[in-house]
Amino acid sequence: MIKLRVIFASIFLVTFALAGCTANDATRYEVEAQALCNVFSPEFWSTVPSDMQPIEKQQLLSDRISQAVQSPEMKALVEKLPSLTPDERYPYYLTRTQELSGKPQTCPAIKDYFSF
Amino acid sequence: MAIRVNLYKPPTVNANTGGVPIEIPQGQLIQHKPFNTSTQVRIKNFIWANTPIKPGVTFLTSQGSRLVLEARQNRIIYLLVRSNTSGQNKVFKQSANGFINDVVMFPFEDAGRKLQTVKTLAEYEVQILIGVLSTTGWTAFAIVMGVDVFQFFINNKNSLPRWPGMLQALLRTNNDLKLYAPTLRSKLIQSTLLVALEGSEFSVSGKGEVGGKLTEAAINDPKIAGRGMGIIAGKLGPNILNGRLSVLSAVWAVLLTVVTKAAASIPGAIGLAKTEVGALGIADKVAFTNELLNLVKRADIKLSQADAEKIIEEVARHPREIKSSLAQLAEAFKPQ
Repeated sequence: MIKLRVIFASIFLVTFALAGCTANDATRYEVEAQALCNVFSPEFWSTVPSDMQPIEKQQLLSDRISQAVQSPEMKALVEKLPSLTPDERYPYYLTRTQELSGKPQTCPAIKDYFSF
Repeated sequence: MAIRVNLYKPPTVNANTGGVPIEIPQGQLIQHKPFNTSTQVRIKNFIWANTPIKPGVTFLTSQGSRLVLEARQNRIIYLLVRSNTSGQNKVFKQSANGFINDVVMFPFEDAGRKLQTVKTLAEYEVQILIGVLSTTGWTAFAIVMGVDVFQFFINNKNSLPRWPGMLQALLRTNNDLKLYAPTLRSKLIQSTLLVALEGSEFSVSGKGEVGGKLTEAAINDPKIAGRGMGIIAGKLGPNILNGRLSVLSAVWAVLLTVVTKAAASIPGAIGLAKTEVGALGIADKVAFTNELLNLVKRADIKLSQADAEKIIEEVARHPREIKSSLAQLAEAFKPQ
């Protein structure tokens, strides 16, 4: 009987730990998706000098993107976007971030960035 | 401001080239004609709205820096300045949309590159690397593999996770195939892939056969199988290896069809007594043989007509015994 209890307790603990890991991962993806969204936020770019050179702007964007994402999954998302057509990019971003975080991650700023 | 860049002759071809840059050959730069420097192209999104594409401005792209010479609504003409080549810089034209796409998406590509440089290798990737290095050494890595270490893993990131499983399937099915389909095994498995393991701990010295002390371990441990595939990659080079893997994937699918057809044409062949004769009609044998020969040609795998016929016969004679091996191989080699 005691053995059985120990087994059940172990199963419970493992299940609990796994659920915790998944929740932590989902939160991490949500935070990274938010950070990636903030890279393009009008609030930030309104403060950037209007005479900033294109190359400086590209480098600033690149630095901010690479700082925003840390997990392999979000890095893979960033790497994948250029290979998609402009129309596919935002839907892909939405689908992938929702898959990872478990929640919709709409980002009007990214949507705008891909609308050129 | 009128920028005179050599001698530009307006292109006679349709400037609507899609998104791809087209080089304007030297021969077309023959007329003294100043570029139109009064026009510019605007990018619609918020971040780029106040940074128009106009003559004299430079942008970064993955091919190098682009100095804009002319910006019209339907096309951009630019000088490409490559930082890492000694060759001369060249002038290109590209649709405005294609140009904007390259400029706007460059930060993603650049960020992707930065992120890749800190790539951590998975354990099986480390084993593949050890396998490759055991054949090439560090200094020869780039020469043999064509790229540096990280780039190799980035270039092959979709296929690498499947490598260990492929070798495991080959090693697992080795004995069955040796018994029932010796030609198949010798010509399509030994000669194409496993031969590269000769001299390593996966092979039996001097016999040209797998079965060394790591063989059994590799069957049970994908990390060790990864090391084996690394050795094969180092010996063959990634291009030849990838070509062979891709063709073999198609070969297993064809042979599985042979199995299915052979089994179906002998009532009760599968699950009952072993078939004593090939169960395919002549027309099917010829068709499958030709299909096999056409496939192997693509990866420059040497296979004679007689051997191809023999392979089809072996498979057709023993569908019951071979089906499971071929299914394992087909599954392991299945393209993602």
